[in-house]
Amino acid sequence: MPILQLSKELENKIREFPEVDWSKVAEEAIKAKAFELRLSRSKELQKALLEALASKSKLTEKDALELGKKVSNGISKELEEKGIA
Amino acid sequence: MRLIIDANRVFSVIIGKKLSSAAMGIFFSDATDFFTPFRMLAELENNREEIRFKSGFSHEDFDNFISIMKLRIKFMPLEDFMDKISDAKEISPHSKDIEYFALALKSNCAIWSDEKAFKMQSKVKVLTTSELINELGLK
Repeated sequence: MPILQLSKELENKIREFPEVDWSKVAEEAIKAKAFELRLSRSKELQKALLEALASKSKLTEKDALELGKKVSNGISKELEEKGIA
Repeated sequence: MRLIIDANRVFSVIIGKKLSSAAMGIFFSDATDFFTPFRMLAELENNREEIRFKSGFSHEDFDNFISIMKLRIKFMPLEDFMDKISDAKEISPHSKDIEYFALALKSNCAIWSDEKAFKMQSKVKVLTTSELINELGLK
């Protein structure tokens, strides 16, 4: 099992909060990173995850259109902010 | 095939399972590469709570949705297609869609959109979901 090497600075920061279970924090962060890496390598996993999200989603076609309009309006604000539109 | 994806199509992949299956097929086709304005990422985040409320997503679900979008879509900064904004203003049916058209002009590729108004111009090819399904042989 790999042993984590921490800098002195990080060790000092960790000691400031002895009430925190840092092993658990590290384990969760490693799990999340490992999942992210697996996801980036596998299109099948990306598809399975998105299908799982879609199957639990309550989003309707009307919602999707409203949200799409809202997001597109937000994108176009970038032009206004830069004085282009 | 390089395609610009608009916000409506992004959300179409997470509509109820039956409705989203066609969009899902296109979204994960080996023959497609997607591009959209970089600002879309910020706008998805700005609307996080409303998206979560309407979809019923937890924060983790929303984060996973964004992670997949980041893996499947290349988010292009405005600076990369700024020189096409002026031309895009001439053809975009609504001001909210100028960046999609500018990016399509710059990248010389089609837009995936089901908005009928997008087809009321001839400079940028616009492909609907059903046209793409046929073109990609996904039927």
